Amino acid sequence: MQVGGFRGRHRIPDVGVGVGFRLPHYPKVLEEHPAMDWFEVISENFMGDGGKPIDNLDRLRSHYRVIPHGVSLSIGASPPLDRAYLTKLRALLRRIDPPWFSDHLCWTGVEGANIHDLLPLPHTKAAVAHVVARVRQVQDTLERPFALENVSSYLTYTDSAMPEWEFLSEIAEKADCGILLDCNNIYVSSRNHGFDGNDYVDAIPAERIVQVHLAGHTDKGLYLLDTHSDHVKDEVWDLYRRTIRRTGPVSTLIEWDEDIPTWEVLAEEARMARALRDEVCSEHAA
Amino acid sequence: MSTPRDEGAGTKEVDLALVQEFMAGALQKHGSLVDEPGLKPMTMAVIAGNARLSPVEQLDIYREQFWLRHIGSLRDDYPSLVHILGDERFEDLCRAYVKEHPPTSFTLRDLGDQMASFIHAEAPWKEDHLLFDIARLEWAFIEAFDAADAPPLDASTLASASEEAWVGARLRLQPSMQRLALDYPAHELRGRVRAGEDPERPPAKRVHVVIYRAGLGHETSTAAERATLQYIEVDAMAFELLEALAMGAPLGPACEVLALAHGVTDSAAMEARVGGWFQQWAAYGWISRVDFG
Repeated sequence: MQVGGFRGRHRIPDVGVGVGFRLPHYPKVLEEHPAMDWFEVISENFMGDGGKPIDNLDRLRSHYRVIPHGVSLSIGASPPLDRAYLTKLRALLRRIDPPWFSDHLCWTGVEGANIHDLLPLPHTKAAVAHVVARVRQVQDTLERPFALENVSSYLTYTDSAMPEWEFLSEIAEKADCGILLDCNNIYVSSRNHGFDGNDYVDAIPAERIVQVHLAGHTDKGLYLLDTHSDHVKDEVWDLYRRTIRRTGPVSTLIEWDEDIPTWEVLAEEARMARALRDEVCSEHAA
Repeated sequence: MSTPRDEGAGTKEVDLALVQEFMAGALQKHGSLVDEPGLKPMTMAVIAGNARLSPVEQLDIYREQFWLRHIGSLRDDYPSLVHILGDERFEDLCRAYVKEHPPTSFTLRDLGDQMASFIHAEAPWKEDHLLFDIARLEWAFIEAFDAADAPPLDASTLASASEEAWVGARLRLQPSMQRLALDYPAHELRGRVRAGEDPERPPAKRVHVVIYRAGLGHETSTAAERATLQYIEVDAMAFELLEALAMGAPLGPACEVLALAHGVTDSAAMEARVGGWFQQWAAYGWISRVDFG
């Protein structure tokens, strides 16, 4: 088990197992403060000027650790990084003061059109160089540890010259950033593109993994769709187990964004992740 | 816009910018990409496909998601438009709107910011003024929801102001406060839609509505009351005065213009009326500050 490297250098803490902060649970969470290790918030939902969103965020922060996770950085897009976006993100990071922040290894739009989707990149040397330069820009601007998340994908490119795990690892190493490893995204893409998810987990530099995502997906027949609309599937729990064996206890988050269940169901999913994590770590200690 | 290339890699790589421009264009197409033969050569050159899905079918998954996501977002923002138009006609409106105003902001929150002006300008929607009023109203609620906060009025700053000082006073209103003059009571329709009712199309009626955020910044607010959105009808004169004050007019001249416009000659009655409004507005938290002189 590696404990040094990126996590050690940046003193990235293990904050336990958390869940996403989602609208149907606001009354429960903000009024009753149920037990939960931490909450992840979607950065863009709290980058406005004030009002109810910021009030909710401040109330959440007064009882829980909060870590922001973005969807619109568009680190792999061709146009220059959006400076106005980075300025708003910096203000949010100053408000929350999290141990790290994250976004996706993808592109979300071009000049004049934001697709609002996490579109995959071709796995090429040129794309590696392009993303590495932009991650460095982000880290220099925001001066906090940054982690890139692997996305689910439904297409591959003709000119991809390396597997996704090599693409992600090379970018993380060259840009010296962290990795948010989404085990559900690995599984969805492995089924869609015909690779072994275990190979993916084994190839990722474990010391760079600052956080893990777990979620459910939907089988559309000809492909799997990353919907975050269900319980974590057994195959994804297996990938999580394999990840934890390599990383040791690492911050973990349950994502559930569609057909959102009751707080109790969501909290139980988090409890299962916590139990599995503890079980793997105690095996390792023994 | 060219992408850096690793000349030593020895592989033929398609320019990243070209690929992304092509894909972004394809994903905004209305119909299935399978029915767009013109896109096939570039799609085949860029996207690999697999044994189950052709390159075009793979790209089409993202196109479907584009429309589900954006129409879904507009549906959340404009529930009363959905109610009046019905699902199919609302979807037609969304597709026409997104074609004219493709999403450019990093946040879907901004997607619908041109909906009212689009409805006002484009047939067939421009023929129905109720749609315009609903769009303005529903967007005003979004603006009020997350606008900047200003501190609440400190009443102690008003105590020593002279009568002359009040004449030149400029009122600073809460940035979240929205004011709308409507030809239909769209606010009543929205309230009933949100309550889960199935209201009929309302008849035309001129109304003046103020949307505001209650409770924020008040120490006495309970958690449930904080920053909740409220709306209230005000009379036409009060509305006109609020508009003038919001534009920075001093209180005295603004009241004079109002009295002239409405033929009010009894200045004491006018003063009493304005005094009543001021107390009401302060109680609602609409006034953030009063600048004297």
